[in-house]
Parts: sequence; structure tokens; C-alpha cells
Amino acid sequence: MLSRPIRAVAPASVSVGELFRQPWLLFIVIFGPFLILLAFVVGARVYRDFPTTIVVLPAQPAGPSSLQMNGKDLDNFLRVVDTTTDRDAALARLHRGEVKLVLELPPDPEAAIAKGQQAQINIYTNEIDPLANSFFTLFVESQIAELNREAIAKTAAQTKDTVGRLKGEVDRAATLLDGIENGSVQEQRQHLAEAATLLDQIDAGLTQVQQIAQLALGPAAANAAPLAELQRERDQVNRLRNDIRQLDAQLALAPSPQQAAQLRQDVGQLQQLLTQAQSANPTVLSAPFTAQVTNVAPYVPRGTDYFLPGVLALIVQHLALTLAAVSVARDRRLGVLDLYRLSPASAGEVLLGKYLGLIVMVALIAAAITGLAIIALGLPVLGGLPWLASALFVFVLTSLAYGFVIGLLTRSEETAIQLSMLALIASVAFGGLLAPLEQLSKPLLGVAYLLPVTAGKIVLEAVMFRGYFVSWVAPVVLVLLLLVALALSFRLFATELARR
Amino acid sequence: MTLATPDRALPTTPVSTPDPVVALDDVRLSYDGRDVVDGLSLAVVPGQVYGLIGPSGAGKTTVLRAALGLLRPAAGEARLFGRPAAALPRALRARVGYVPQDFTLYPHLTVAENLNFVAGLYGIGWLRRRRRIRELLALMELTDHRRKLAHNLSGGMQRRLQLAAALIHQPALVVVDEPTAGIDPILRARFWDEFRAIAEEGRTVLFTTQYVNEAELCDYVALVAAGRVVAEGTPTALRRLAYGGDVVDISSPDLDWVAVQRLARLPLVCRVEQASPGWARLLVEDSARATPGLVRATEEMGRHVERVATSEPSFDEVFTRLVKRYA
Repeated sequence: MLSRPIRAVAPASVSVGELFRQPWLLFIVIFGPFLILLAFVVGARVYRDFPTTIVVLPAQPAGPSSLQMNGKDLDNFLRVVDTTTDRDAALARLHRGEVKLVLELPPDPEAAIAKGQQAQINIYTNEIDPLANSFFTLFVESQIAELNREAIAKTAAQTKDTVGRLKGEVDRAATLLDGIENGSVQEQRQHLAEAATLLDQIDAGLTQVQQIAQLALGPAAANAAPLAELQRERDQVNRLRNDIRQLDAQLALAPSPQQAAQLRQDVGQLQQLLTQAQSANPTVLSAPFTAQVTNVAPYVPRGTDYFLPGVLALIVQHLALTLAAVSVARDRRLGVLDLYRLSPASAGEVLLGKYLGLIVMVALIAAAITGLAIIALGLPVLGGLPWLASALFVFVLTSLAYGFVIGLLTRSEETAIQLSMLALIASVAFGGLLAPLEQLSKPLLGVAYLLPVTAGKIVLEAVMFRGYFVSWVAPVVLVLLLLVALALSFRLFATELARR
Repeated sequence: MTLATPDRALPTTPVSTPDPVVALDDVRLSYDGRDVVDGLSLAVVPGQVYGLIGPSGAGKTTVLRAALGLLRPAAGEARLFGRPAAALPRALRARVGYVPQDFTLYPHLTVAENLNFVAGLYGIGWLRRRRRIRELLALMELTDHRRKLAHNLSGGMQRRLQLAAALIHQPALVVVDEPTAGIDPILRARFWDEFRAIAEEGRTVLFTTQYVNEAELCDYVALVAAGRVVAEGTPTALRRLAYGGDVVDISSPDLDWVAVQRLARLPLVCRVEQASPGWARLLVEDSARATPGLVRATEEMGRHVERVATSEPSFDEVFTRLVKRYA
């Protein structure tokens, strides 16, 4: 009655025994992966350094201007290693790989803006890595947008000064209009004429401010809030000027108190608008919207910690897959399969034994690596240890099943190892480690999900960093892969032992 | 029992032979589209030490693997314990022990661990297993080496370990491929003692060897050459088949050519093989019956007989003769 379990345990003892007979191998398989993890955490950085840059300044700079930049302005987002006026020398250094970027500033940005043109900053790079290229492009574009914003803020500050001056003039116009009700018609008309002159000056001032702001913000910002505000102020001034003209025309006929009151009310509104404009914050005007990101994730891993479940899954998958594949291929080379064929043990019992041995071994190794990672690197397990153990168990078993399938489909240990390496490369490329899964095309995503590491990584991330599954796709896929690979491995092993 | 060459074989097994443990019936085995064994039949009965003897490349291992069901014949049938060898039920598989030509255990396990593993495969419980391993280690003189890794063993020790593994479940049939190849004469003798002991227990040993002289130690021998059984029978029967009878050497100081010619005309004497003054080698039908007549006839001729003995030519000679004659 006990024969069956005894027979199944026999191949298990081989796997464990052989490993423990090779202490160096044991050391390498347990500490090797952990050291890789540790080296990754310590040595790798998620974020890139600011690119090293040479700033090429204009050979003949324009006069002082609020829009004029220098090397120091750029130090906030670039690592400016040199500033020069020699563009060719800078480009030569770029070709020699001494710097990542050469940034050439425009000679006279203000003049360009005055002509209705954007001031162009030329950026040169010598990068063949498309990812690095994308990074530089996005990074520099975002930083140029920041420079634009700073330019708008400077312009807005200037505008604020102008508005302050305009407000003084409007206040004077209001005083003049206050005198209309008390003076003679002659005096009243004189006051109106002075007020109209002042309003012309205010309109001219507002037009100037509006033009500067429009150029600074660019054509796409025609409806931006600061410009709309300026337009409203100009409309108000024009309406006031109309009111004054009408009033002047009617003064000979003696203005009605209602008309005078209307005029005074319009001036009051203009005063109010200018007061608001004067109190406006230039930073707010230049960037009226700001974003406040609130992460509701229960845990946000630091830097490279985020990648640890993925790297862990990759290591465990590679270990399990290789050991299982080589185990079967080596049995074939040694001739042990004949021993199995002639023994009373069934194919199922033998393979079960092999699973038992390897799962004990790989699960122990996986537990050791994960334990070390949790303790040494302080990673959380928000889903709890039972969930982590279950996830690791299913993942290891799936990887072993894949390994057995590979071992049974190949004829030699060398081929089995090569296929295991191919699986590793495919896992790195498509398993969501290098590029997010969302970036893969649908057929490639299907291929990615055929690799245990893809679902394994997502499951381990969820168990460790979230404590719940955002989606049940990955766990379900992992279990399905396990069932299919298990069934296939048992079927192939039975066929192998029946082979004559 | 079907014999490959009925006219050459000398059936010596009793008429009422028990059912064969191993039976190959007109088996043809192909490799890479080439027939390596063609029309081969043999039967191994319980309690026999059965030797498949032949030169390297004769197809002995292929025949053995077909007999075990590890190769599927292109034609003919292989049966073990009366059942098709390729579909042997679990209970019958447990009655077979196999020692392949190469070492096929795990090199990174110790001697004891390898035996433990094989015992487990055969479902032997831990208590019985311990006792059995101890016995086998002692029998194969491996007790002092039980903790050595298999890959650190000498070739001879590995053969002993492999044999111990095949015997651990006390199989009814032990199939051994070239058990004595490359091992020293002392170890070879020890293996043979073990095979004889197994046969005496009523169990069966089927083995292959390229050492033709080991045929003498078998109960039954099949000479294999170029994938065919050239001849089969007991060692004595094969010797008689090779020479056409028994060989008797007679020595007498007065024996001359005239006397030898007279002896050659005696009823049981087939022919004169060799002769020289004072000595003659005669081929007789049956040495036991012919020898008294030879002595009597010589003395009647007034010659003093110094020595008469049945000569047993080496199996190298027997094999060479048979292969030359039938292959």
C-alpha cells in the first residue's frame, strides 16, 4: 500500500541529494540570485542623471532682456559642463562623446518675439539608443516648457508694473469724472477731454501688455486666462471711451444725472478690474493650472525596490525552469530513463517524484531569497505571508512544469540549457521588466502572457506592494498556465517512457 | 522453443521445458533503416544462466534491449514471463533486474544513496531496504565505500554498484549487459559466483559477453554474429557441434602411423584430427563410450598406452570454428 508513495519519493531524493552533494552549487543557487538582487538595488538607479551639456551662447548677444538666458539659468535641469560661443567646437566634443547634449541659445529672443516668431533653442545630441533619445527629447521639451513658463511669469510681472501705472491714470480719470457733476459745462467738457486722453493712454498700455503676453504664451494660448482678462479690460476701456464721447456730445444739452452716474460706474468697474490685475500673482498668470497628485496605492516602493518582485520572479523562473529541463535531459543522457522504464514505478509516479524534489528545493531557495529581500531590503508583504507562499508555490510549480516540458521536448542537456536561456531572454524582453506590458502589441502581449514570469511578476507585486489584486487576470492566467503545463509535462513524460 | 538453426543446434534442455522467462520469436530489429538483427529466436528458461556470446558489434546489446522491451522489434515478438515485453505490467516489471553496459546511476549520489534510490523505485520499505542494502554492500564488498560519491568510484566498483542496484529487489530475472567487460579476473570470478548463486535459487540470468571463454560457465549459450544466432546449446554441445564430436588425445611411445590408421577405423571414431609419433588426437562420437575401446585396441596392437584424455578445446577455437562454418 505504501509502495506508491515510496516510489514517488525515490526520484525526489535524487534531486535534493544531488544538490546537497554540491555545496558550491547550493551556495550559488541560493546566494547567487540574492546577490544579483542586492547588486541591482544598490547599483542600479531608476532615474537618469541630468544630461551633461555644453551651452552655446550667442556670439553677439543682444542687450539686457528679461528673456535672455545664460548657462546658470539652465543649471536647474541640465548639467552644464561648459559654456562657449564656439558652436563647432561644442559639436566636435559632442561627436567625441564628451557630453550628451549641446544646447544653442537664440541670439535675441526678444527681437524674434517682437517679429511674431518663436525664439528657437537648438539642441544637438549624439545618441543611438532610442530610449535615451526619447528621454532627452521629452526631458528637454518639458524643461523648455518650464523656461517658457518662467518667461511668461517675467512678462506678467512687467505687465503688473504697467497695470499699476495704468491704475494711477484711471484713478485720475475717476477724479476728473467726479468733478463733472460739480463744475460748469466748460469745465466738465475739459475734464471729459482729459479723461478721454488718459483712457487712450490706458488702452495703448493694455494693448502693449496684451501683445507681450500673446507672444510669450504663443499662438495656441489665444484663449488663455491672462489674455482673456486683458481683453476684458480693453473692452471695458473702449466702452468707457464711448461713454465719454456720448457724454461730451450731450454736455451742451446738460448731461442727465443718470448718464453721469453710468459713466462713474464704468470707471469704477475699470478701477476694480485693474486692482484685480495688479493683485494677480505673475506665477499664477503664467501657469494658471497646477496638479496635485495623490497616490492612493497602499505602498509606494522606493526606486529600484519596485523592480524586485519582477527580478525575483525572473530569477526563480530561470532557476526552476533550468533545473527541471536539465534534470530530464540528464536522466536521458545517463540512461536512468531505462531504469524508470523497467521499474514498477509509473511515469506519473516518477514525474511526481521529480516535481516533489525540485519544488522542495526551488521553493526553499525562492523562500530564502524572498526572505532575505524582505528582511535585508525592508520590503513589505501587504497581502500577508500565506498569500506570498501560495503565489510563490504556484509560480515555482508552473516554472518547473515549463522546465520539464522543455527537457522532454529536447534531446540533449545543451539544447535544454539553450532553450532555458531563450526563455530567460524572452522573459526579460516581454515579461514587463524592460517595457510595460501596455506598450506591447496584442499578439506580443499574448506571447508575454505565455511566459510564467509575466503573470508571476504581477501577482508578486500585488501580494507584496498592494495587498490585493487590481485585476484577477494575472492570477487566473498563472493558474491556467500551471494546469496546462502540468498536464503537458505528464503527458510528454509518459510518452517518453513509452518510447521504444 | 524455436531454434534459429535447427540442424546445427543440439537441444539439451528436457523435452518438458518450463515456460520461458524470455522468449524472442523471429525478431527483426532495425537501426537507421538497416537490419541489425534479423530472424532471431531464443528462449531462456527459469533457473538458467543464459549467455549471449559474440564479438563486439554482433548485436548482443540490441537483442537484450529488445528482450526487455526497451526496443520495439520491426518484426517478430519479444515476450517476458509470457507477456509482450513492451507492455509488461507493473508486477512483472518488478521481477526484472537490469544491468546496462554503461554506468547509469547518479554520479553525484553516494553508493548508499544510489541503492536507496533504486530500492525506492521498487517500492521497498525503509526497514527492509536498510537490511537489503547492507547485505548487498557486503556481497559486493562496497561497505567501506558506501559514502563515496559514485563518480569517485573505480570502473570495477561502479559495475559492482550497478549489479547491486539490479539485485536489490531480488528479481526473478537478472539481465546483464557485458558484466565482465573491462574488469579484473578476480572481480569477474566474483560476478560469476553471484550469477551461479542466483541460478541455484531458481532465478534466471541472461547476460551478454564478448569473452567467449565465459560460455563455459553458462548453462546455455547462444553464439551471436552479425545479428544472427550462429549456434546455440550447452557449452559441451556447442563444442561437439564445432568439432563434430568429442576430442580424445592418446599418448603411447610406440604409437606409429599404422597404429593410428587402425584406431581411425574403430566404430566410434570419426576421424584423426592430428597425429605425430607417440601421440594422436582423434575425433570420436562420444568420448565416454569410445575411450575404453581405444585403450583396448591400442594394447591389442602391442602398444603401451601412456595416457588417454578427453580434450576440451578452448571456446575461442569452438567459436572460431562455428562462425567460420555457419556465419
